[in-house]
Amino acid sequence: MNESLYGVMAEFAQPEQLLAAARAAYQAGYRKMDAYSPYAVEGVAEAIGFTKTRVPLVVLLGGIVGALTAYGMQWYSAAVSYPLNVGGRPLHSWPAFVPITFELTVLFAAIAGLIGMLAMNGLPKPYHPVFNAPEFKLASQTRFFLCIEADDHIFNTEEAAKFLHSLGPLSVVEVEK
Amino acid sequence: MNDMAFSSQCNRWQLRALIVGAIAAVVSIIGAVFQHAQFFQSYLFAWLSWSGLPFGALVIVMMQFLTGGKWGLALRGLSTAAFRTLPFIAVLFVPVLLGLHDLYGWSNGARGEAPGYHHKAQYLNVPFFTARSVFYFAVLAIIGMLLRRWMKARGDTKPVSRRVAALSGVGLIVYVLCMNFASTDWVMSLTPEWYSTVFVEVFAAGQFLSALALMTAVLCIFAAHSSLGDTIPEKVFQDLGSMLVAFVIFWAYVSFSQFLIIWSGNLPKEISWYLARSGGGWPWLAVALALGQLFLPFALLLSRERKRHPRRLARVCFCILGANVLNNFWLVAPTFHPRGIYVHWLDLTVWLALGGFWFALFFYFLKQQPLLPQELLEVPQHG
Repeated sequence: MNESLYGVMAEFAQPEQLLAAARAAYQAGYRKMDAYSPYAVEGVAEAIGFTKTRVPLVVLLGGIVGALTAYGMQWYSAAVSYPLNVGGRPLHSWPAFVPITFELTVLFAAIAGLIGMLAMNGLPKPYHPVFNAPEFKLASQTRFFLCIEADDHIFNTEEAAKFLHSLGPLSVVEVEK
Repeated sequence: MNDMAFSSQCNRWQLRALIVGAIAAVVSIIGAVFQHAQFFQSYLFAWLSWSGLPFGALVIVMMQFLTGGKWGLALRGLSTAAFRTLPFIAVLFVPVLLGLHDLYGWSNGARGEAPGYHHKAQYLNVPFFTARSVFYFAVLAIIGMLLRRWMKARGDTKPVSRRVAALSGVGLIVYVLCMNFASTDWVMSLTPEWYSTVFVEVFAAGQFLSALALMTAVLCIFAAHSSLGDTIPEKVFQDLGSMLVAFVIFWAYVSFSQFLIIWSGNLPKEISWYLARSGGGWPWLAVALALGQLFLPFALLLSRERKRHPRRLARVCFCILGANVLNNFWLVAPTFHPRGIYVHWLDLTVWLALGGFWFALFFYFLKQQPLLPQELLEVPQHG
């Protein structure tokens, strides 16, 4: 097997073809593959076997940490560390703590989401092999690409190329690393 | 689902609603003879609960005409059937007018002695109150009627015409202005010395939320029990779920803003409304509200799978609808029973009576048109 090969990529003209190709490839047993399109094509993510990310969980945890931090900080400063009588209200006046708690929940959740997303998708990535494919710049304009990657467990260069040819693509190219 | 099955399903539900409504109405009328003050108090609560649905549905339709979007397209038939009940809701307002003296202290001139009240009598008097209410119903019902007529003339499949969009834009502004005064008249004036400028938002958010939750629930039920479920894109349910989250948060946001501002100010005139709700178990109602109309639906709707699953989404809708009934009870009942939490059996029967009749009419209108506009079913799937 060619060590410097990243994968085999097919180019399609229509989003429906990409969707059908992704489904067929999954059916044929391929698992390590990725689809590239100018806009989100409904159903493609599921078709290539993408189910869930853990980003929502990170966002939830960030939100909970933010809420606890904000409430704890206010309670500690207003009721424990520096007790201050404001208009005769109790030191631990929860209604006054709610706006800050809400704001920090949102802030922490958003920051956790951003960091979690970057940590899990590997961005920023200055180099990616798929850009070696000659027509790939069209992936942000009018074309739809499906790339079966070489480290897939049943990958074989000739068979993958033959399989992709059978799906009616505009072209099939081998992508160098 | 074919049209026959759809209309026979509507007929079945219409009949059931009518039976429940009729039985509850008979019981309520018997109750009214013996306890007319309690009857009118229960009636105001029940009427506010059910009147929110057509008003909220009108807002859903106008919003959809202005902004587009498949979620609103899926609700258009349901919402149209709901806002067509507006004249009926207006007729049901007559008993409130008959019970004015049992409900609104200002109608007796009893507070004429209180300082700062006298000038309010220019606004809070029986003839002007009645005229204003008639005006709100007339204006909003006419807007609804025109929208329906113009859409019908144009046909289902074409995009919304300019005049429909323009009337929707004007209509939304008119709605907010009407509700600003209507919420003052119907609810705020129960405690005439009290005022809150954010109250109209609390009131309108409740109306919108109840209508959105009910329309979504009915759509989910039709989708879960028939082949209809396959024709509606999953994304529609997800969008409706997201809308519900947004408006649950909005309702909580404005409700809490009102509380926080009044609590911070702690001024005698403003705090009176919360003082009536601060003892005798009423705070537990507030806790139930916060759970049922914020924390529980918010937590449940975080899950995308639940939003996309009609049956599970419907359950969240029922949670919101139940909490919305409590919300209307919270707005009205503590004023009459400031000493402690008090639920009378008339609260239940009058609520059931109005609800039964309302649903019967809703299903009567619903079966007269296809549930989903052709436009929704024909839109090709793309990104």
